[in-house]
Amino acid sequence: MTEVREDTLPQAQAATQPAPAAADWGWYLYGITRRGAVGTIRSERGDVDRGAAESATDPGGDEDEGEPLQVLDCGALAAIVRRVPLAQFSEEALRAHGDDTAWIAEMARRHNQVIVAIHEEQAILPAKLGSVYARAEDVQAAVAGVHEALRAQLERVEGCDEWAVHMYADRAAIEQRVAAHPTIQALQQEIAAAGPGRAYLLQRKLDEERAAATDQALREMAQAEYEHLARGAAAGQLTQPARSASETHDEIEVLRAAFLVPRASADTFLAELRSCVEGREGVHCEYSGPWPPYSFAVLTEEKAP
Amino acid sequence: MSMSKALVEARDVTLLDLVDRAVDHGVILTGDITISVVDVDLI
Repeated sequence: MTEVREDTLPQAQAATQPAPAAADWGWYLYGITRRGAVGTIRSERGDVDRGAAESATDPGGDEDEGEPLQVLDCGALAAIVRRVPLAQFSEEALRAHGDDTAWIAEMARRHNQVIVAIHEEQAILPAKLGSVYARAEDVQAAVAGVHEALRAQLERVEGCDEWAVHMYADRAAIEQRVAAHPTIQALQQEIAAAGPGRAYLLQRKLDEERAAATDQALREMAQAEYEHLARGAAAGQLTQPARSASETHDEIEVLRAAFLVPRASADTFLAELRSCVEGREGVHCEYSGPWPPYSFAVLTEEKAP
Repeated sequence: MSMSKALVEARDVTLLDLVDRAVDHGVILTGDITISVVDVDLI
């Protein structure tokens, strides 16, 4: 996708924006809510956000801080947006920061802050970080195209929070545990009785068997934990765990998942989570939440006319 | 070093989860004019 610059903006488009510098401004989309309770958003969000802007150190520039959050009605839905200077989201600007951890974390924090404030009041489908539109009408058109799907998703996440769960395992400890496996025990006895050449080959086979058994044990543990937690959730989603962490830690991440949990059953879910955190030998869990339902703000294939 | 690796090493699970969510999840609607904000490999 290309950035929109003043000189490439079609005349007709500029005409729909009476503001003199309209071409330099875009619309940042935070998320989609149901229409209504708009007054609440307007009055409260301004306050929440001013506080956010003051406390945040903006690595990209302060130009957007004066702009209030706005609510764009889109049929039965509403889009939470803010006018932002397009220069902040130009390809150049984004490339310049693409590898800057602190900058991205700050962007994510600001994005999240607005969404959390709304999530505390009513259901919201968070937008992906950095979704910027040239015109308000473009946001409305985008919503109109998937209006029914968005409405169905909002219903699904109503009254729910998202919880993030990671499970880590000490591979060496799990490897010791699988050493009791009959196949591995039998191989060890065979090695003890074999001559040097054969023992060498058997040892290699033993290493392979042990690694395979450990992998399987880790997979099964992760799967069991996921299923256990999913039973107390409205929905669950598995994400690829950070495999490369094994190079820097004794522990590897074996499970990374998100769960959509009704607030009414949050206590039960958290009790299960904490028992996982207390953990078993060689395994432990970490979690964070409650989050707005980022991982469950997904559109299915269906398309509204 | 990629951001996620840095976060994994720092073991700041909340920050990792925040970035993971905001960057990698959230609903995507057509018609936005920005390139992908982050090209980093979220592991």
